[in-house]
Amino acid sequence: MGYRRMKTTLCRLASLLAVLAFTSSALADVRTEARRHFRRGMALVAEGQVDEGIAELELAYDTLPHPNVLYNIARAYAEAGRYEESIEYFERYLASDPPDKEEVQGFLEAVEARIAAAQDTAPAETPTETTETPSAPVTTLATDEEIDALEDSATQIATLAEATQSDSLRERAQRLRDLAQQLRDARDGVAATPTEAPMADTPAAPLDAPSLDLGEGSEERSEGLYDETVVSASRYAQSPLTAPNSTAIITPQDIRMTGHRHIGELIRRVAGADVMSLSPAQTAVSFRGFNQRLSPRVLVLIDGRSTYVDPLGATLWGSFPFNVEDIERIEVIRGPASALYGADAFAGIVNIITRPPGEPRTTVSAGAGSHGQVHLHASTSGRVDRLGYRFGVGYNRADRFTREVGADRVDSYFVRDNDIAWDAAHLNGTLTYRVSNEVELYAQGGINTNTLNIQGTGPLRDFVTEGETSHAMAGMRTSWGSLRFFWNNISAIGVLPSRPLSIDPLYSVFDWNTYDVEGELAREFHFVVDHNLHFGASYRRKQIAWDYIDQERFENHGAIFFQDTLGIVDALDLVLSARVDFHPLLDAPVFSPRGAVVIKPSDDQAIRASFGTAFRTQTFLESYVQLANPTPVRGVQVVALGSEPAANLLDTPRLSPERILSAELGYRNEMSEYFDVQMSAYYNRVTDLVILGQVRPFTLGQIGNADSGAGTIAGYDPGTATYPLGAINFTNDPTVFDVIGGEFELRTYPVTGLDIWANYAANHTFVEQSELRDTEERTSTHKINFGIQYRAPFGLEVALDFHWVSDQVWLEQVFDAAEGVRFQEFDLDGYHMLNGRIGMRVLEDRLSLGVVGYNITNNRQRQHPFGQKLDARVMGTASYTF
Amino acid sequence: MRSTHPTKPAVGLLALLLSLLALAGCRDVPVDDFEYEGGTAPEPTGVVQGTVLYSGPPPICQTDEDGSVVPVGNVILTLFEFDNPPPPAGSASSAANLLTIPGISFFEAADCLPADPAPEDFAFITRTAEFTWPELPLGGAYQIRGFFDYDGNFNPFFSVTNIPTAGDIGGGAFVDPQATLRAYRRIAFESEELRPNGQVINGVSVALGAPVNTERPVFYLTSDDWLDSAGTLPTTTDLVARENAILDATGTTLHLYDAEKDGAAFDALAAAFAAAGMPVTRADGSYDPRGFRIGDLNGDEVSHAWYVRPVDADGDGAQDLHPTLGAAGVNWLTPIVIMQRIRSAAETEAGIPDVLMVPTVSNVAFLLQGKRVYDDEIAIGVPPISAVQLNPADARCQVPFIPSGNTTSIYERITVECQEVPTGLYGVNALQGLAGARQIGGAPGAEPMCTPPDSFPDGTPIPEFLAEDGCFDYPEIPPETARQLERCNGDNRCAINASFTGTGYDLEGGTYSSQNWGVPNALGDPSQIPDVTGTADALTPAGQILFAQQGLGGAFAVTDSDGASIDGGADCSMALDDDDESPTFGTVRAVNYRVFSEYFEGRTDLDEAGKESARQDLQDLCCEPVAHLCGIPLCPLAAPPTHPDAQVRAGITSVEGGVPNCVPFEIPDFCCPGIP
Repeated sequence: MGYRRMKTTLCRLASLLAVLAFTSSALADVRTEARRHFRRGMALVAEGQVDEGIAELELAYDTLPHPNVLYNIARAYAEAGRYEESIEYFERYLASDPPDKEEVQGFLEAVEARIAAAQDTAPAETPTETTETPSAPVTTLATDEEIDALEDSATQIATLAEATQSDSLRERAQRLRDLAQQLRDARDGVAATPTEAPMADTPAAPLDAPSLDLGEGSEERSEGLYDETVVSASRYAQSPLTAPNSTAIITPQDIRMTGHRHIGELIRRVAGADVMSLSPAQTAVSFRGFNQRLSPRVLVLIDGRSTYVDPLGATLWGSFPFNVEDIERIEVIRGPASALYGADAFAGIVNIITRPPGEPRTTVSAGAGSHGQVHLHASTSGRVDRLGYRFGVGYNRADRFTREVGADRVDSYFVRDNDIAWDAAHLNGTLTYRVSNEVELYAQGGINTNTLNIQGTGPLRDFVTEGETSHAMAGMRTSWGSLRFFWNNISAIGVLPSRPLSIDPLYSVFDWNTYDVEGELAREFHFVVDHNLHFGASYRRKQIAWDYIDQERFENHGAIFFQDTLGIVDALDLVLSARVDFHPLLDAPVFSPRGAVVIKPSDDQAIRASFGTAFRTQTFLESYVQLANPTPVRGVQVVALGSEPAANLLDTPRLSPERILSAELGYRNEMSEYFDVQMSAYYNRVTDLVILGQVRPFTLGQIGNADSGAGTIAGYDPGTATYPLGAINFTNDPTVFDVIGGEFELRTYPVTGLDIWANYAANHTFVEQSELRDTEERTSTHKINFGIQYRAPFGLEVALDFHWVSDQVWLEQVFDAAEGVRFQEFDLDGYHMLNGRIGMRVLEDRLSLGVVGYNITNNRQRQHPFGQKLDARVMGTASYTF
Repeated sequence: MRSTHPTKPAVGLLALLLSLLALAGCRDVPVDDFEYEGGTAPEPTGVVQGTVLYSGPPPICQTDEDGSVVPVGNVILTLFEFDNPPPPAGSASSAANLLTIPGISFFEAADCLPADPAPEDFAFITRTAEFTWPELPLGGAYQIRGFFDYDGNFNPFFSVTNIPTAGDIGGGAFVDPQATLRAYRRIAFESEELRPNGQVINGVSVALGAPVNTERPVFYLTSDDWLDSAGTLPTTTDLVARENAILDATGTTLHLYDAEKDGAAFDALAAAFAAAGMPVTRADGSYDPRGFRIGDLNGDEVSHAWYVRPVDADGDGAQDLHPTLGAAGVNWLTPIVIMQRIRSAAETEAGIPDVLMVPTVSNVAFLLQGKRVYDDEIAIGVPPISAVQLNPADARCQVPFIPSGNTTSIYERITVECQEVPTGLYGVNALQGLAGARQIGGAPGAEPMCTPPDSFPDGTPIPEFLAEDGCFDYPEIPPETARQLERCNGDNRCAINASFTGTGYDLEGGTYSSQNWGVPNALGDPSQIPDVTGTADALTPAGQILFAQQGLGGAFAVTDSDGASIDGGADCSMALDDDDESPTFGTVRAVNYRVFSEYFEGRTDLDEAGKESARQDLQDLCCEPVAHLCGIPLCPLAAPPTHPDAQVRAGITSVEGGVPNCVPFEIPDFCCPGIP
């Protein structure tokens, strides 16, 4: 970059910052911004500046709606004696079906009774005037001072409205002016009968009027409001400050502002996340190392439902039955969590929490862009009495980044479309029914019919799957615990989409079902110290019928777990967790403990030290696969064997679960309203990784000879017209990996509407006892994320995310004419990505238009040796909410 | 933070959105880079499509698990580089590719041979099947050889099963299948540059119609002695004497198994074959069309044979000189014997280079006289010269190790390391026994071969029936007697007509297969040798085709007699010179060993600096794989259990990060400059 160009760029950046700085008057990140308005509002109300306070509260609600804000506004009005206004907000509050619905309804009735009583009382005192001014009996009670105060308040709110460009405040101010004018007009009209009773402060109450006491719990609802909470770290809602794990939250604003359609790309922004985009339909995710195709070491939950595809050990992000618009938030828990979630919560957890039913909201979105990108979405949610509902439907499509075989190739044939990477339509629905304040029933279902282009495992790479992904879930949430049942199913076919002439495309039919039951008891109590105890058990039945495995298989898994958070003193929590998993292929139950100490020097900062273990059990593929793999020599195949058939045929040892032991030290600081800081350092010891071993040549005795005592392999397979060279079976890598690393995250809100965030992660792996490798460098030593989000008062939205990782070295298997399959090291250069979105919100924010850029600089990178080479993509989106 | 009104940017965005909508699906998906460029796209390949014509007896059939009747055998097609077919026409030890066509593609149930066939049931039938052979490298020229595995006992991955056996129907893709002297068709693909989308060659016809009448020879190795790592080549100028001296130096013999005479050894072999799914039929056993017939050297059916004849690998019509000893005037005969030092798994991990030796087989003199050897045992001579493959990826990195005291002139022209032959155990493979040949007129024997002596060497009179026509009637001689009669000539050899094989059969053809090829090449496959330290009790774990004679017990040993592995003899810089025109050797002169100095001498496009740079590049290429072994001490000497009187270097006991605790032989000095 030449000096002139650099100078120009810097000047432009400076200009941009200047514009941002001088056009700002509100704060940035919506949660922080809303929290700030809320706190100001509550303080003003407490000081007696009710209207100013309520204006702030309304700003908070506009920024990030929360029913408790409505409650506090209603309460403020009620305490100020402005019952009619309080009724409006109470009713809005009740529309959210809050847990204290009955109490609030009782209070609402009391307020209405009081108004009625006031109306009854007023005519008795001023019967004539009432008859003359029937429409506004209360207004006749206003004094000049009260009307002046009301106009002053309107002026202040109008000032605030102009400063914040808030339509609602403008409306609010106008309403107050109108009210003041109405009062003045009324007073002028009935000047002969001035009232002694102030309008708002002390309406005359009859002796038998209902009490306005909301009862216990009627205090202001500010505790934790707009504070971030996570539910995944301890199975209950808590502040990230007190969570025993390192956590990150992806907010709806992040989702909206970035414009990403793929959840994996959202997770890329999280410190310590290892994310590689292999195709537009597949993003592999791990944390703190050991990422690989199919993401086998991260447990992804959707509303608490495991989406782990047991046969593959995969998360098929592109098959989820919802769009990102349906997501309320995504919680990311880094580090092992088998103590709570059992097998597969190895490197971390991603818990996707969808928008809850009941919110009166309908959204329609559409997008289209380069490379065949199409995005359609429609969802609606609302409430009918106690029944909350949300339904969604959507469609996504995208072409591959690259295809492996060109359409002009004469040495190949094409089994499937080689251009499409992601073609998926879905339907989902969720219902909730509140039986009582303490009991809620819910049911959820979804189906996604899709074509996905995914990278397989071992030397098998470019796959296309076609089929349906379905789930159903039902459960009950109570104040004492929960009970949940869910069913997952994938019915699909898989095939290699293009192959050399006459080479088997490995077509297979895949039908997988899981049935899960989970029960949990949760109690908070005091015994010596405060306890938050969770105790539960789960059962999972897995079934798979798949051409790639030896026969239809069933497995039954069980587990019991407990967790107790002990509040030793206010500033010190001790978290103890443990889980025992029973796996049918393991000789002994697997015990997974976790412990953490959380010290809180103040309410807004925490120091955390934790220790935990996790494990990953073998997948169906690793356990039972029996598949002839073609090789570059047409008449030769290599048989891939799972641990069970390999144990029978080759007398190989059975697999042990992958294990990780982790110790972590973390610090989190949320003291400032202008920035948050989080940092952590960790040590992981990883053993027994399951890998696809090297080819073990068959002995003649294993070839079609049942007398040898061992199992046998057919010497010649007429179906594939091949001879088996040997077996390649899943085995435990004897390598011991010692990993050290850390993350640093900073999020700051320097000026209005501007979020700047950055994080850095370091990771280094030391290798011991390795037969395969000298180093383990599939994880970049350095990773940097940097981003800016800006929301202008006039509706403009700009988001830019920059992502950079350092070099990697992958040890992957390839087909080889001489050896069948062999390991090969692949160097992967470090790469960067720049993603961005520019958008505009119009029509009172109901319509949102945007253009999303992906890999804007067209950095033709590959994020895995077998991954497709990314290109630049652009997409226009429009979303309308009503 | 709500906006109040739509603005121009919103209109612009809307327009952009609409234009993007129009863009959707308008662009072709680009193709990734080819694999050789670091991408994921498979590089373009060649495809051969055509028809296989089978002309042979009806197939043997069996009932499948589902009750259907299916043929036992399949068609096996092998692809060789056109200019390098298997021995003896070429030196390919492995097919470049393999294609099979299931027998069910050719035959229906009605074609099957009856369970109890009469002779007329073997009348030939003709069937055809299509084939497609994908993923062949572009830019190459190939020939196709093939056979119908009639008895279904072929498997390319095991040395005992990877060639056709008697009863199989051989052939190939010929220029003219009807020609008396059939030549293989040249199937040539254009380069990747010319064919970026691949190339398909259609219309290739493969004709299979030549029955294989012989079984492959099955052999084992014996040695009266073992090679001293510091041994020297004979120093006589008499070529015959030189070869005989080499043959005598190690006393090593390849033996054909004989079902009649090998007793317990044969029983073990037969059991191992049976365990390998290949039932063995003894000479006097009942006929099993799927049985493998071992030995039967004197039976009335065509059996095994060494196919001893000159090697003409370069195709110039003249016999080639031995690759190692050729400069000393030694010719090259089949069988080609290759010894490869057995590496343990630890040595493989540590990157210890492979070491090869190429012995010479006996009887050059008789070939020069148009005579052949009658023998089921072939003496081989092992010259004390090894070829160390510093970098297997480049043939120029194959560096001879010669002990000090050897003749020098031929080695001053190539990169040589004056160093003792690495000790250790060497697995043995023989290329080109005989298989696929056609017997002409049954077993030989009527032709007088020589005048027998009156008595055996021990004075026992020769029975009269053997001498009545002035010669012996070969087929009728009891094996023991025949063996004794081998020494009927004055030089203890019995000459027979050159048109016969080494074991006395008059055969033709057999050039479309060799004894040893595989995918991968099974030469000295260490994975089939479970314990190179020799401590394993049983070398034949259940079902593993590893015979004492073919595995460790049959491996050739190179030992260190004086315990000094390096420079144990004369000064390495001084050696006997064969250029002094004296009738005998003995002149000692300084040796001008060179470091990759032969390369690039003829390059006119390079000046001296360029040549030196290129040499250095080559040296770097060759030495880089072993650089990590420089400076590591030699492993201590130890006596292997199989050779308690000898010493070999003990094996590596640990490997840390690819670096072993010791090395079994020294790495060439030129790869370790400055490191003692």
